[in-house]
Order: sequence, then structure tokens, then C-alpha cells
Amino acid sequence: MDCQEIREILDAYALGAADAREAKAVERHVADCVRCWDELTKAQRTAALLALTAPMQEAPASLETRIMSAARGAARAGFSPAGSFGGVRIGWPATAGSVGLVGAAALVFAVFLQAQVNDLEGDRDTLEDRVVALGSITRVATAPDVRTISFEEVTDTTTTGPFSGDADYRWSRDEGKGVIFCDSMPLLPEGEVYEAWYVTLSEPVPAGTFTPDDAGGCLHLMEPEWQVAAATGVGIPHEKAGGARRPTGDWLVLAQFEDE
Amino acid sequence: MRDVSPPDTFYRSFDDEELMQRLFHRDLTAFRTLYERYGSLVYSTCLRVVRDAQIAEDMSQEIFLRIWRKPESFSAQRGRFVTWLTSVTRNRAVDEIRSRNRRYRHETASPEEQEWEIPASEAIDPALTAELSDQRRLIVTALEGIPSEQRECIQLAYFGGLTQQEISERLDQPLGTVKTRIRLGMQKLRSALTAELRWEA
Repeated sequence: MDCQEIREILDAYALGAADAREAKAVERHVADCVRCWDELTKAQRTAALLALTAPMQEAPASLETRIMSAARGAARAGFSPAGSFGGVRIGWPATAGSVGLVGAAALVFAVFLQAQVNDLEGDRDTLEDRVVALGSITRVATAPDVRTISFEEVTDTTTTGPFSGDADYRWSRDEGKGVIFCDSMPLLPEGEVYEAWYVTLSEPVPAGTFTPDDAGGCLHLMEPEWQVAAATGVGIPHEKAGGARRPTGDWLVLAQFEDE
Repeated sequence: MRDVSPPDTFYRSFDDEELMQRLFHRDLTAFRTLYERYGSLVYSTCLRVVRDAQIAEDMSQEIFLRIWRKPESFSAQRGRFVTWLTSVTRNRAVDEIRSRNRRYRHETASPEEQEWEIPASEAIDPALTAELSDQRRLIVTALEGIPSEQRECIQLAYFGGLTQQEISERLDQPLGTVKTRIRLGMQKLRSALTAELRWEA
């Protein structure tokens, strides 16, 4: 179709009322035609304004509660899973370049860490140590051989709460280290720590200890006392003392790496 | 549960795109500020399309959580956040009614019974920010200014989720007539809005 024909159906396309064949034609055309692309953008802005002509209803207060609570649950920065929201269609034609950063979890994670670094700039005393630690964490979390486990809805009725947290564990054999990231983990009694263990084909191997902050969040480098060659998973036992010779076998969470 | 402080003047001073940037930092207060700004708009748009409060709530939650989980879905190069948000919302809501085996449409089969009331342009709505209220005044005035048969076709397309072919069947008008009404109506809206439209990139 030429520009004239495309202009005739641009508005219907912007309103979502073009049929499939017309929609294809518009998308194909504006991919190569800047002027029609501009026209389409204007039509889309106009169409978007139509939303404001819906009678406005205040969203129920319970909706905000639901959304914020779910967002907190999903607040596992950097490791944010893609989620299953395939039903949401982005209203732009494909020509604008892909809007998503598919498979960019590592990049998002790096952006997050960069933000952490930026936020620390005002705190000169701890800056250097923290930056070094975050650098190590980044190196492990984005290592080519990194393997991941996601623990969801970790609950522990034996501690204060109720909490239902999430944790991600990443392990790089090449780096010889792991990273634990957690959110809303069950809080620990004073002086106690969580200890993670690598599950191997023989005995569990201690992976390191970590302590969530007051909100149950953590971002911690896990440096095991000795190197693990072939871990198949990670477990965190109920016992909170840390430093045990071996876990009691009573796991708070236990899972295999996603590629196992 | 981790507490999120309510948006304060500091956060409210950010524009939408800055707040979206902060979502990459997993900033829940930024997210809450966006919800404060647009929660009612998203909810009202969904409600207008699906006409069911519970579904509208569920969809609003899905839309906002998707933004929270995948802030990279929005690209600031492509235009303003609010334009993108309303497009995503409308498309999601229309997908919903289309997939719900067209039940809604048949329930409101007669266009005469369909109420396409437009809110009064002067109305000040607490559910909208001052900027959105201004924008609404413009679009409502423009929409009132076009012939009613053009307005009807545009509304059936945008809120009713109908294709031009379906509109032509619904209104028992030739397809060509519907296409012309939509084109002329949209062109008038565009020219009425262009001068003052601040939803520009």
C-alpha cells in the first residue's frame, strides 16, 4: 500500500479497529516510512486520550493494598522473573524496535547494583567496602557459568512473623562463590544466622551464612570454606545457629538448580 | 512485611518517566506514586470496557504488576509514559472482552441502548491529577464537537473493542461509511487537540 492508502486506515489502526490484514499493512509500511510513522504516533496519542473520557471511578482502596502487597512479594530486585503476563499487548507497532529486553536479567541486575552503588555515594565511610562487595556480587551473579535457584514463599512458623519471603540463590563454580538475594525472609532471633548448604552427590557442603535485615531482605556474597565441584542444589535448614558440622536434615527450603 | 512509606512531596515532584527509572532500582515508593497518579485512570478504563468491577480490579492489578516486574517494557524514547499506559490498559481490557467469547457485546447488542455518556468537561475529578483533568477537558470538548455518528463509531472501536467490520454490522451501515466516520472523526479530534496537546514526547 502507498502512503495515501495507509493514511486512510491509520486512525482505525490507532483505535484498534483495523482488521488483521490492514494492521499488518500499517505495521509493514511505517517500518520504512518516517512520515507515516509520525502520523501514526499522533493518531495513537489522540486515541490514548480517549481513555480519559471514561467515567472516572476512584479505584477501591483494597486494590492499592492488593497491588502493593503483591509488588512487595515480587520485589526481588535484579532477579525479577519475566512473569507470565503474556496477555498484555503493547500498543505500539513492531517497528519501534522491540520494547522488551528479553533475557536481560543480568543487565537488569547490573543496573540495580549500579543504583546501589550510586545510592551509597553519600556515605563515604562505608562506600569503599560496599562497592568492593557489590563488585564481587556482580561478578558472581553475572558469571557465564552462573546457576540459579528461586525459593518462593519461604515461610517459617517457628520464628516471628508471619512472613512469606522469596530468595534467589546464584552459584558460580568458576568464581567459587554464591550470592543470596532475599526479600521478606522470616526474621531470626537475635544472634542467629541462616546457613545455606550445597547439595552434592555425597555430603552437603556449607555454602556460607547470611542474616536478613529488619525487613527480611538480603544481598550477600556466599563464600564457602571449601570449594564445591558439583552441587546439584541448595538447601537452608531450619536450624538458625549456623556453623553446624552438617545440617540436621530438617530443611526450611531445599531445591535443585534450575538446570538440573 | 516491609513497610512502604506513602509518597511524599519528594516523590510527587518526579515526573512519570523519572519514577519509571526508579523502578529499575526496585523502588516501591516510586511504584506507589505511579499508582497514586494512575490507579483510578487504569481502573476506570478497564471498568468502562469490561463493565465488571471485579474483572476491572483484577486487570488493573495485572497491569500494574507487569509494570513493576518489567519496567523495561516502557521505552521513554517511544513517548510519554501515560500514553503508553493507557494504550496497554485499553488493549488489555479489549483482549479480555474479546476472549470472553463476545458475551459482553451480545448483551449490549442494540446501539441505542448503549450508553456512551461523556463526563462533563468542567467536572473536577478527585480521581485525576490536575494535569489529567486538563487533558480530559480538552478531549471531552473535542469529542463533543464532532458529529454524533462519528463519535459513536470511535467509542465503539475504542471502548467496545469492535473492528470496523463489526461496527458496520452492529450499526447496520455500509463498511465504507463506518471507515469514513472513523477517519473524519479522528482527524477532527487530532486537529482540535494538536495545538494544545501536551502529551508530546
